[in-house]
Amino acid sequence: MPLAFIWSDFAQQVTSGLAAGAIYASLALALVLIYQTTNVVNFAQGEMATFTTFIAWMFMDHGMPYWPAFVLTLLIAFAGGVGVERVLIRPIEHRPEIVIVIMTIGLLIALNGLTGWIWGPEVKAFDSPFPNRSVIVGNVAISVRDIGTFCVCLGVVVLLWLFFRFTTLGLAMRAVAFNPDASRLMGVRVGWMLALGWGFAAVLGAIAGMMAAPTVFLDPDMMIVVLIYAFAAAVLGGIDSPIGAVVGGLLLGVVINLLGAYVNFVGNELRLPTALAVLLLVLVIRPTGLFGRRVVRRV
Amino acid sequence: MTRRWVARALTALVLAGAVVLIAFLPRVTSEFRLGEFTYVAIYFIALLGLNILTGYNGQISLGHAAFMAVGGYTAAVLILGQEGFKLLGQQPSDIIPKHGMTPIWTIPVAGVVTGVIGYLFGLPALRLAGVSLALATFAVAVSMPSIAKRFEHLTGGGGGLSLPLPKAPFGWDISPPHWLYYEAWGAAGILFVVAWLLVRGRVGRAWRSIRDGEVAAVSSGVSPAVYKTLAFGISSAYAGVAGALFAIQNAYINPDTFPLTLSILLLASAVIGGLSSLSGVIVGALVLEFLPIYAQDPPVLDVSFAKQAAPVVFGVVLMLIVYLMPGGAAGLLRRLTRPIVAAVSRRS
Amino acid sequence: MRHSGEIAFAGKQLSGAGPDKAARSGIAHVPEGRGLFAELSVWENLRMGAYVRGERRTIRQEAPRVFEYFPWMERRRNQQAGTLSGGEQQMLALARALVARPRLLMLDEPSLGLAPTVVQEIFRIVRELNAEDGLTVLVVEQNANVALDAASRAYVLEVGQVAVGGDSAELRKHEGVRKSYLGY
Repeated sequence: MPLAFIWSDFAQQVTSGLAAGAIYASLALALVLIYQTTNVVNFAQGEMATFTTFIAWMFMDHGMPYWPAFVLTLLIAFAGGVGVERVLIRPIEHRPEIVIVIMTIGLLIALNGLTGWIWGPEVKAFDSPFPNRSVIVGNVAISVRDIGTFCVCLGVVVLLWLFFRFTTLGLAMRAVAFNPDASRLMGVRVGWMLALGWGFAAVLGAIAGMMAAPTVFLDPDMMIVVLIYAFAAAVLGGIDSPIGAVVGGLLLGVVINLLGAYVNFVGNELRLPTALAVLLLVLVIRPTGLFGRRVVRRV
Repeated sequence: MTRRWVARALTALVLAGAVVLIAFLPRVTSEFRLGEFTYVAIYFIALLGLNILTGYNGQISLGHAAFMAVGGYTAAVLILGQEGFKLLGQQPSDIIPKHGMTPIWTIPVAGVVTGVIGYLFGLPALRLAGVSLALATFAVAVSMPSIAKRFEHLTGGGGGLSLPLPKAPFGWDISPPHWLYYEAWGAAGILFVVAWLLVRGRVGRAWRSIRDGEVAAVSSGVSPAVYKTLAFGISSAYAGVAGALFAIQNAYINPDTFPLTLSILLLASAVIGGLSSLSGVIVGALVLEFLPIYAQDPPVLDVSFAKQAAPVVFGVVLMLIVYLMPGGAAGLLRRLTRPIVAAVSRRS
Repeated sequence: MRHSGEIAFAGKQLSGAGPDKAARSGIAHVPEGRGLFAELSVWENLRMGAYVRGERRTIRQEAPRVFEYFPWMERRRNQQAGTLSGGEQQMLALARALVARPRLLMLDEPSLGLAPTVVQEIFRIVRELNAEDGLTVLVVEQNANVALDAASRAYVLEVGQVAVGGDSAELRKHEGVRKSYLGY
């Protein structure tokens, strides 16, 4: 009897960990997408996600049903991502990485303030398209929301994978990530490929935000912690590996949930520091992450 | 007269002027303003440390405020002692000394403690570069409030610690705001000289060579491990001193006194002032203290913006600086004064 | 560094244009070091060659021709380009350039790092392309022997200036060229 009880509890933690992990994976993939093409870590990725989630909230607050608002927000996010790359990043793309990173930090600060300015700092409720019930599988109660979150996030990831694998544009974007100079010789407009990358990353961020909002509630600082988990997942998986980002995200989600539930010392407050400690440990043992190719250090 | 000589003379003149200004400021401003300028001194010290780490040594830190927190809590805990904890209704840990210390001595202690912790952090940080290091420090900054809340017996938990208003030591007859002002600027002055000596000496050259190309540095006989951890230790020590002064000035410290926002704004201010330049640090400190105030209530206009206007302005200013003046205020100053220096040296 | 003059191709001004614009004007450039996408497969590299002319249709049309010249590419189309030998990589780079049916093919140091037999093979193919398809080829080559054999015209550049130029058969007999580049 006790064993069955523990098993169902464990399974529940794993499934909710997978759902959270899917959110981290989406944002981590966004970070890796941008890092692969622009060689820049976009510190503002989380705030861009928050901003677009607020836009979705605004639509729904004015009466728009969920899925149309969802799709419209994704389109806006895409345009926003392309816009940020063309307007903010492109003029300084030849400068050292640290300069571009500081630009993204400036964007982070400004967007965070702007979000609070436009919509106020109060926490808001955000609808989920999935009902708040549980489904019983075996004797494990799995939240429908968790299933839905997992499917949406990973569904988009799969769609992106198909895009990169089978379409011309996807191939061109991959080529640009590997060898921008050779891509130019093939007639590829590298600048626009980078902009597309930022657009897709923004879409991934928006999805992560909209999936996270029902649970963590919507406020301007919503994605800061998620961003850190996403960073951790990306670095864990290998900062230049998309697969690593996804696997890292899911792994991190599950591990953190289990640690939080079963290790008393960690409890609820020390989840993030514990994740950080685990991440640092992995990095010290294997600096390129689980799937990484290049050494992060640029010599 | 050579250019160098003129440049040096000019710098000395400016520094002397600054010292005079700082010394006489209390006579002409209100006590409230004086408090603001005390915070400028505190930020000045913190930014000196951050500039050493990120500007001169190239290690990005988004967690500087977390080290300030370490310094602040060290000072607060030492000032209160176990008896002070109990007076506040908190349960102190046994490693805290029974009696409180005079505030002024807690400052160097805080600096040393934070410096050691920073050095220890710098050891595993050697394995991380660029991205990963920024992430790690970012995560430390976010985690620090949670850690502070958790270890209640050391930090007073979420309720925080209230500190007694400091009196001038040794029985000197100075009002607290004046005393704090001079204490902060005195520390700032000493630490500025120390930083200046470090940066222009062998250590500074080693730091810069590592920043500009670690492989080349190694082949010149510079050991990255030694100097990088040293940079972390020293910059954290500065942050610790700044944090201690902050806690004393604030007369209160709780887990949210040094939030993630402060870490990010510290880096932003360092860039605005000019990374890898000690002269720009004062601009960064002034910006950090006054921009949020003036962004919300601009001096000439008759409007008052929401609190969130400050980060928006900060962010936009930072982005503009990156675009137009990557050298920050210091870079701009250098460009402006170059013709002056050239003109003066030509004429003589 | 100051520069003056202009670059024009087929009547169009190309001065100051980026490499992608040149590619869209019908110039295929095989850079020094091949410029392959090492992490992509042989087939994906070829597809990228067709990008400038609309990848999907072009690659279907041009692939048979490429496989005629280089049959091994069809068998090993899924092999990662970075794992090919030096000679194979050069051929892949050449094939990739051809897929776009360029009007001008530019080869930068094609013989670099390759064994003599491989170099001979590559230049044989280039000569065939020039003869059969009328493809204009511009080669920058240090190996004067092989280059003068293959080319109809040649120019010797010295410090950015044309020192000698003309029919390659005549250049072979030129004393300066013989002494400096042909070794006798």
